[in-house]
Amino acid sequence: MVAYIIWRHGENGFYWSQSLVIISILAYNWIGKNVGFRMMRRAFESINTVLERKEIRINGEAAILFSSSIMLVYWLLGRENAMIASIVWALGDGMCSIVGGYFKRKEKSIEGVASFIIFSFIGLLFVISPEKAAIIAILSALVEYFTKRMDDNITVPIGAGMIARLLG
Amino acid sequence: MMAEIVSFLIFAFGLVLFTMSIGAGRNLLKGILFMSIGAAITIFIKLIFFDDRPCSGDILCPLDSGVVSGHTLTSMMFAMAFYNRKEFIIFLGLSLLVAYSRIYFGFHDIAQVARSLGIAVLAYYALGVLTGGTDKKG
Repeated sequence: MVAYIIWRHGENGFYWSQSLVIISILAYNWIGKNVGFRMMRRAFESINTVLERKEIRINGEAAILFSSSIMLVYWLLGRENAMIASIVWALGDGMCSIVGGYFKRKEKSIEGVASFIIFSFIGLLFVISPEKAAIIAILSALVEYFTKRMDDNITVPIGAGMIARLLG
Repeated sequence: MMAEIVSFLIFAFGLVLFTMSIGAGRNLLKGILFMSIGAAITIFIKLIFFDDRPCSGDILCPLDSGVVSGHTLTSMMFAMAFYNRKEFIIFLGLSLLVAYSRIYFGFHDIAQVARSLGIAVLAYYALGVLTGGTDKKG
């Protein structure tokens, strides 16, 4: 969806949408914790239970961090690279989590990395050449695999964008 | 100019009183620290990058780079210091008003303000990582 917004709407549309994502998630978290609508609080608690979180953190933290980093990528590395980075993050990182969860792996797994490469490669084929898509997919998967301390929702988009920029 | 300084001091004093009255003195100190870090980040970015402001050419237009909005960045950093407190929404609203005013008066465009918002969130996260975990207790 972010890739579509970058492709279809201009710079302003992109920045508007990303700001709205950040503000609405922060506001949603505040309402979920403080206002006490029963349904919302229940949804809030169940998300934390499903994710086995001991303490309540920012729900949608991944989206906030991705929105912030993709804005940096758009600004510093350009529109095309931001589109590539958003495709890699959405398909690669998303499928990596799903496949890792399917195999019940808590740490980063080889299955997850393989799915990252395959799905981001398929997504990238729609916008760039197969050789570039393969290189970006493999290197981004390595970035994802070796991300330990930082959040991969920051490192993957920035890493993919930088790789795409270096490849020209 | 004098009226602006007086109104700023009144607002700052009111803010301090408000935060002390809700028992958020620690958050206030954290907010001031975050704002200082935000100001340092702004200066650093403005030294490296240059971007025209929408108001360029106007006599009231600041001459420095418009690449990020320092007002938005620092006010958002301040608001994030109150995350996990009920009063967060007030500070978030105030920082959004600051952001809107920068666009309204033509000092920045939406891209410059949005970037500041993103950088503030990333800086908050990075500070959490550096200090050993995201802020959970407020």
